[in-house]
Amino acid sequence: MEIFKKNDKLSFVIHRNYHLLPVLNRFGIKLGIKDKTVDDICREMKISTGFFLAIINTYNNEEYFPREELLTFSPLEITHYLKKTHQYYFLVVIPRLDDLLEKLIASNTSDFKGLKMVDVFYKKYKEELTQHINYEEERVFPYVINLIKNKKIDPRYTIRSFETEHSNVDEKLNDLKNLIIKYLTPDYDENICNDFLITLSLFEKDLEDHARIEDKILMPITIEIENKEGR
Amino acid sequence: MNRKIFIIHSSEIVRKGINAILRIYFNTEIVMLEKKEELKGFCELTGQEIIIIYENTADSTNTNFFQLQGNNQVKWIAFLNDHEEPAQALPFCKFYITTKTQASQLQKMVSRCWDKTRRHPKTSDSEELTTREKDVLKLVALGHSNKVIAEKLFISIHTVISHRKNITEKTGIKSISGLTVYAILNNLIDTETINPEDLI
Repeated sequence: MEIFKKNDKLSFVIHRNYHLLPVLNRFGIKLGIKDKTVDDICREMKISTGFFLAIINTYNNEEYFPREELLTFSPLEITHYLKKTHQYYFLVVIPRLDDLLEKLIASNTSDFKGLKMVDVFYKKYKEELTQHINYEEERVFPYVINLIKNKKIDPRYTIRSFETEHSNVDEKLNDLKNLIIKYLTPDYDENICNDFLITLSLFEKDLEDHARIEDKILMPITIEIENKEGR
Repeated sequence: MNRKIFIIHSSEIVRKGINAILRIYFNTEIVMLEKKEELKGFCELTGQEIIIIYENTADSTNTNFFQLQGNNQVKWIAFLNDHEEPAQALPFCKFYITTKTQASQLQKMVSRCWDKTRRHPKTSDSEELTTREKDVLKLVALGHSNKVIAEKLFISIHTVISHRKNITEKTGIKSISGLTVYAILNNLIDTETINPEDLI
């Protein structure tokens, strides 16, 4: 397993895993990075290097778990990153999926019913995902931010009461892939279908990573803070 | 699924060394044991993903592993001591390490073991649903609860649940609305009389 370090050149990181590109963008990093190291860039952008490394390494390796650094990260930094990720989903990924599916349906030659069903299912999935994300944005993150900024604890909740199930949403995404890969009659433009499936698979990976950051980093830190504040 | 790593070695330095290497990268429970026999205490485990890193010596019998092997997904990594003839390895062991193994190699090995136990959907030989499974699927797609399905088909709820588990394993589809789409695509429900969009 490869672990990126602060003295690695950022260009090396991208060559190793180009799927990290959107992750870098979430931190406001743009290309044209010359031979700057991870640390150089983070200093320039005023990002905590440790946090940045933890994020790209958890993205790169599912099993990576920065136990030591875990409690040094600021929950504000984490929620900021998670919100940026949500924005990326709504502004980039979902519109791209919408567009590809629309094109896929338009390319269909006969079995309109099958693709129509897939479309209905996709819309249902999107609706659930949106609800889930809105819940985090409107309830969970504000709770965490309030806890940090005001050291105030809303006696009605702890972070555990917000623990939400990611699994239902993940399940549907996987079902969507399986329906297309295994059961849909392939009378459509296959290049468009490939693009759709590839985008969907990358999205799935990104969502898994996102859930890992919430469950394994944000959640334990918040619990720690709650404990300190006497919960 | 729960994961566990067992490190079995007679040398405390080796045990703790391997533990230190793995703890940096894996958020998994690690159990250190001195002798293989101590695994007996864990033979009750079921449904876990387990990696056992063990000192490959000829001294012990392997009989007590089989229960563990049968009820869990177990991967083995053998530790070969230097200047020692390796004992005959367990037949299911594919990985070996020695004192010369680099930390990163060991981490890779463990990652590969996890990868193999994960994610790969079971591919049973026959993916075709049985007639009874199709009956159950139809009713699931129409939005009925397990209780109603059991009553309609004159079977127990337990049997309904078992059918549903098999349907999901065979089709690779878990959500109810996903199964509904599957049923429509396979013409198991008549979409002439029902508006499919109401079901999904």
